[in-house]
Order: sequence, then structure tokens, then C-alpha cells
Amino acid sequence: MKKALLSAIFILFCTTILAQDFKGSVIYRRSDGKTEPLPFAQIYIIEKAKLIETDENGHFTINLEERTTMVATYVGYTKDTLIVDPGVPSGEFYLMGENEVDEAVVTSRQLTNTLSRIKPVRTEVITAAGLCKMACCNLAESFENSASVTVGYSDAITGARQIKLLGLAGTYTQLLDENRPVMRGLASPFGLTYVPGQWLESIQIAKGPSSVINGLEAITGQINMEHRKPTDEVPFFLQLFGSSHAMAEANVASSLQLNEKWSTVILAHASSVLKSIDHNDDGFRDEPQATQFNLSNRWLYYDPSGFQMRFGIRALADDRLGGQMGFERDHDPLTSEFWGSRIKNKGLNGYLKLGIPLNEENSHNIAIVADYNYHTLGSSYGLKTYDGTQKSIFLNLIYQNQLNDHHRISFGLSGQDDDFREDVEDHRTYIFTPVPSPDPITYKIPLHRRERSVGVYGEYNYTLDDKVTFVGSLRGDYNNIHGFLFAPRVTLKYSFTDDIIFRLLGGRGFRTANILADNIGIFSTGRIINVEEIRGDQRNLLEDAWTYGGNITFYLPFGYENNTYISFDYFRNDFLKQVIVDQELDIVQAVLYNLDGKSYTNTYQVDFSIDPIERFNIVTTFRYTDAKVTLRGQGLVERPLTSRFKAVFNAQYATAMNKWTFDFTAQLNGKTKLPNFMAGQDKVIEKDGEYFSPIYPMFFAQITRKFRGIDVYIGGENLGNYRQRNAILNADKPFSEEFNASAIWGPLSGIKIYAGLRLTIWK
Amino acid sequence: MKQFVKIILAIAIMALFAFNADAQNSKKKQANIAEVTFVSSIDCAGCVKKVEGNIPYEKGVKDLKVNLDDQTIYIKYDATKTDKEKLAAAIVKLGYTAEEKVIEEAKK
Repeated sequence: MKKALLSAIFILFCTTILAQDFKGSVIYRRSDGKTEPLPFAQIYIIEKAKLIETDENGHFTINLEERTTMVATYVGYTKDTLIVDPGVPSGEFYLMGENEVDEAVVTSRQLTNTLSRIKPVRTEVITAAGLCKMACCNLAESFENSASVTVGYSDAITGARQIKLLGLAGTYTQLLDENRPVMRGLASPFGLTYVPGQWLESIQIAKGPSSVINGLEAITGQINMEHRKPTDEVPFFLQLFGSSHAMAEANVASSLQLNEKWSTVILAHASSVLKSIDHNDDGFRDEPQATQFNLSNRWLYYDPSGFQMRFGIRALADDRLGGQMGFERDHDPLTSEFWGSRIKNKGLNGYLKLGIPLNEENSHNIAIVADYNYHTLGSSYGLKTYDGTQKSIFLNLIYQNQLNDHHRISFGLSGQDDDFREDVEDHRTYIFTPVPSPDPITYKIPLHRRERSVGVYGEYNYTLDDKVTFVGSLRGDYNNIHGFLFAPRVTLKYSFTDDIIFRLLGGRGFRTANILADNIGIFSTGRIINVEEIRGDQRNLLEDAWTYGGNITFYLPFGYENNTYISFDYFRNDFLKQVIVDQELDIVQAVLYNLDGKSYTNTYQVDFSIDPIERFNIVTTFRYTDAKVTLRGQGLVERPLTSRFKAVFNAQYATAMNKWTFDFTAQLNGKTKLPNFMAGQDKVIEKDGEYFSPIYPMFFAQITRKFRGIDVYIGGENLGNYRQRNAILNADKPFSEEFNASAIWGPLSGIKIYAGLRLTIWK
Repeated sequence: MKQFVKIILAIAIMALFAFNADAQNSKKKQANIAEVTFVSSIDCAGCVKKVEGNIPYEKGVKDLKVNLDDQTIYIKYDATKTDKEKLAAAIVKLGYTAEEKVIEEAKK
């Protein structure tokens, strides 16, 4: 009241001096473009650190003696800034409803890994706070806190990371960048290391095939990444990171709002492993010496009418040096006496997204997504070389109509054009060959695939308050290789009460296997890659699977602010068609063939989260996976290299206002069935003629200290220093058929200590 | 497995110390502690981050809770070092409104 009175007096005072008066109006611009005055809006005068209000007609007057910056604000509206020189008679501030600018974001507490209450599909959300719990240099490492996703290495040479969701390789999970498919094909083996964790705002892990809008490729689920937004009021962000493994990293982000309509974010990343390390003295680098540069620029244009346009480009260059310590950057792998690996990736991506409202409320709209991706890979592994180029175009046209509070329909048309050119050459001479021969054998695998598909889809969404959500969708694609592909998907969410939520989901997914890129690990072996069975007919590349499952979540009235929940999941996945890579069929070959029999996984998971007291959060999860596959000559057996269980315990305590944050994570990784050639290796357990990895723990801890604008953190990974020793079989005979660095079940490097700094400058 | 238990125990002890230190600090200075809740124009996750990244470092601020659902900012502060007006100005400076939320208590 006092403030209002003061403001009134102030305004009165100002109006009496006419000479240098500035007359301002604050105006609300509705989404339909019409305007109306905003009474009692607040205007903050920066230079005078003063607050004034508009009158009932949305006007105010102020006396200006110097150049003045004024910010007009109003609850629920965007703000507007004017910089006015003395002598300027009048000016207008335009505010818009804030909800009209950004998609609804529902987050308020300092939750880190949490289950979404709202989404119809069982969705685990890793927020920015969760991403800061660990070093999180890249997307792969962001999942260490999650039991749903298991992260491992493809092999002990290349540093390629692999995730597993529902007990299946990450290639069966569709990766989305703000709902646009990414990391397909050649970009997939190293793709997870090409998303710097510091670029991300959040990650959503949805289990099961949910939406058909982005194609048929989601089989085990979808992982969507949200990047830092152009609208973030952070003109400058810098992160510096260094680890005891000689890894140095820097990230820069800059979000700039140019005016009411245009905003942009620039993201840059540079990282390098400065030194080669060989802790286990096998003569091989524990991790490749990788140097990566990554640059992205994203734009947002938002018109008050509701029209929005997002576009961006991204460029990437990565160079990896791996293999024996004696192999240097300037060596030619084909002539060097050392076994060396050199991998060069270059990628370029551009996208455009348009959102066009067809009516005032935007309940009726059209969205257009266009994406172009170019990726080249040039690599060598000892005497094998693998080179490839991929050009992909993706187009999607979506029409959406929210008929009323209960019914929403979407229709769409989408197309994908992939052009793959890959070449493998093996320059070795063999003692053993598929067909015994006295002559040296050199073989080549040229692969060329031009795949085009056009799909139509429809999705119907029914919502009854917060009680029921039903989503039914159908999609039919015509593919030039595989012909007609048809997939139905259904999702149901039902809330028995506010605190008991039940979800059911089922659907079909398809993908075309990229036999070499999907199995990059087989290059780091002495095996002959035998693709003869698959190669003849490209229809053999099709993978087809059904996934269904359910979840029930109970929110419990315990703990601080009743934040406790317990959730149970069950998912089942059945393959009708699958490409199998088998290293057990033959001792000198890795044979690729089509599944002949059953291949399935059953995954059970329990998640429990509680805040025993304020700012202290404990999350525990346990996953059990029963994965079986039919291998030629063996019948239905446990799927190799798939851990049976994973338990994660995470505790986080923060002092008031998160000035200090303490994080601790413990993992217990279950045993993994190993291929038979792992017999007799360190820690390998034999049981009834089968070989298993041991159960092993991993510990992570981090302490973060926040100052104004600066966060400093220090942490450690694999604090128990647990390692899979001798991960490279026959490291002393790298050019032999028995050489094998692809059977990885545990951590390759021991304890790692790191420290980092995050600097944020707010607008 | 032994190591697993040991590490968990060590962390539990560390956490206990942290709680204690926190509790003792708050007891010492209870006398001048005041609270205020502002209704604000914050309505995006970015706004919450901005408030959480700045207000804790204003002079005298002891605790902060930003609630996006209710669009409120709760601040616990040392009344000898700052006052409501200064805190409101600090929020406005970030670009959001700050009106003190008056909690109407039932009159007896």
C-alpha cells in the first residue's frame, strides 16, 4: 500500500514537470495480435533503482535527466526493456503472456532423477541438477545414476560408448534432440560422446515404443535431450573440466535475446585427452587419445501471433588415436609395426522447425520439421580399415487439433532418405581362413544402401482430467527396400487416486540394421568379419520387434514434503526379426546372420525415492533383466554381455540454498554372460560350461560449492578402483585371429579424480 | 562387498556431520531471523534458476525457496543486514515482480 502511495505521489510529481517528461505506456499484446493497456504494471528504473507503476490506463510519466533503462514487468507476462534518452517524449512497452512463449515446463523442486507424474509413458527425467551430480562430460556418462540405462564400452580400443535400455543395445532406442531423431547410422557408435553434458538442460528416458510421430525406430524406448534454450537469460556460461586421466574439456554457452522475437544460443565444446595412459601394462592405451570440437548454433523466432520457427546448425570433428602405446599419430597403421587405431569423424547437421497456429488459441496447428545430416567416418583398426559416408534427410509434417478438453488428434506425413556408402578392407594375411588357403587373403566389404521411406500416421489422444490418458496411434510406411511396414502403438495412463498411477503400453518398432556401425567393436578383434549371409539381400537388414509393459507408481505420505514414491516396472520385448553378431560360432570369424528362433527380454525394475529431511534425497533402484537369444548351434541362450541386474543407490545432501552439495552414488552390477572365448580370463566365473563376469561395485562421489555465478566441483569415479583387467585378449599378438578387445563387461580404467568449474553470467 | 559397506558408512558419517553443522549454525542466529514470501512473475524453469543463482548471494539471505507452481519466492533473512524492500528490489532487478504475499490468518 505504502509502495502504491509512493508510486502515485511519484507519478504526480513527475507530471508536474513537463520539460523533460517521458510518457510511457505498458501494453499487453495478445496472441492474436490485438493489444490492450496494462494497468498497475511495474516499471523498474535501473539507474535510480526505483520501482513505479502504471495507472489504471496503463500509462506512467517519469522525468528523465540522463539515459535511462526501464524494465516493465507484470505477473504472468514477459518483460520489456526500453533505453530512453532525455528529451524523448514517449514510448511503449509491449508485454506478452509468458505461457505463449515457452512450452510448459513443470519443475520447481531440486529434484534430479525423477519419474514424471504427468507423462502417459513411464518417463524418467534427468534434470540439469541431476546432470550436475557427476562429471557428466557427455551424454553417455549422464546415465550413471540411472538403473534403467546401463552404460558400457563397445570395446577396449575406440572409446565408443554403448547404452542398454531394457537389456538391449542402444541402437534399439530412438535418440531425439528436442523431438527430432538424431544419432542414426554412422553417427551412432560415437554419438553419445558427441553430446556434451553441459549443453543439456534435461534428458527424458521413456521406456517402450511410445510415439509414432518420429518414425518406427523406437523399439525399447526414446531418449529425448533438451538443450540450453535461446530464451535462457544466460549470455555467458563457461565450464572447465580436468581429470586425472589427462582429459581436459571446455564448454561455452551463450543465450542471447536480440529482441522480442529473435533469440539464439551458441554452444561450443572442445576436449582432448592430452596423454596416453596404460595402467594395466598390456601395451595398449586404456582410452584413445581423442580430440573433439563441437559447435552448435540454435535460433528461435517467436511471433506474438503464435507462429514460431526454430532452426540451427551443428558441426563436429573428432580424431581418436588408440591402440598400442608405440603407435603414434604420424604412423600409417597399415605399415606400422604397432597395432594402432585412428578414427576420424566429421559431422554436419542442419534443421528447421516451424510451428504454425491455425486459430487464435493455437489448439489447431501445423508443425513442419526438416533435418539434414552429413557424417563421414574414416577409421583404421590394425590392418582393417572402415570408411563411410552418410547423407540423411528427414521431413515431417504434423497436423494437430485439440478438439476440446478431452480429445486431440494428430495426423502426419513423414519421409526419410538415407544414403550410406561404407567400405571395409582387411589387409592381413591369414594362417586360418574361412576356406583354408595357402595364399594371403585380403578381403573387402563394400556396402551401399540408399533407403527411402514415406510414412503416414495418426494419433488419437483422450484425456479425462488427471484421471485417464489414452493414446492410440497407427503408422504405415512404404520403404523402397522392405516394402510396406505397419506399426500400431497404444499407451494408457490411469490414476486410481492422485497417488497411485498405473501405465500400460505396447507397440511395434522397426529399424534397418547398420551392420558395421552398430557393431563397431568387432573391428577391434582379429576376427574376419563375415557378412556374406546378410549382404546378399538388403531385406535381411530389417529388425522387427514388439515391446509391451506396464508401470505402477505409488506416491507415499512419508518424508519431507511427502516426496516419496515407489514404482514397479515390467517390460517385455520380442524380436520377430533381428541381425545377430556371433563370435562363438567360429573361432576366427565374427559371423552376422538373421535370427532363426526366439529373441526376447523381460525387464523388471523397482525405483524408490525419499527425502528423509529437507534437501536430503535418496534414490534407490534395482533392475533385473532376463534376456535370451537364439544363437546358431547353441539354441536359446542367455544374451551375451547383458548384465543380469543393476542396483543403484544415490544420496544427495545440500545445505541451505544448495551452497554446498554432496553426492554419492553406489552401483552394484550383476553378472553378465560372456562369450565362450573368455574362458580362463581374470575374474571370469565358470558355471555349467558357461562363463560369467563377477558381480562388481562402482562408487562415485562429488562435492559442489556454489558462489555467486560460480560453481566449483570436485569428484571421483570408480572410487573402489575396480577394473576388468586384461580386457584385451592376446594383447601380445595383436595381428592374430585370437586378438579380441570386444568382450567388455566392466570398467576399463580405474579410479578417476576430476575437478571442474562452471561460470554463469546472468542477464 | 566389504568395501561397499565401508564406503556407505563413511558417507553416512560425513552426512551426519554436515547436518549437525547446519543445525548449530541456525540455532546461533535465530534471534534476528525474519521471513518473507513474495508473489512473483517467475513462470519458467529458467526464471527459477536465475533467482536461485542470484538471491542466495544477496546480503543477509539465509534461505530461499522458489515455487514455480504458486509463483512464490520465500526468503529467510537476517533482519539486521537487510529488509523486505531490499530483497524485493533484488528480485525486480532480475526482471521479475515481487509483491509481498500477505498471509491472512484466521482472526480469533
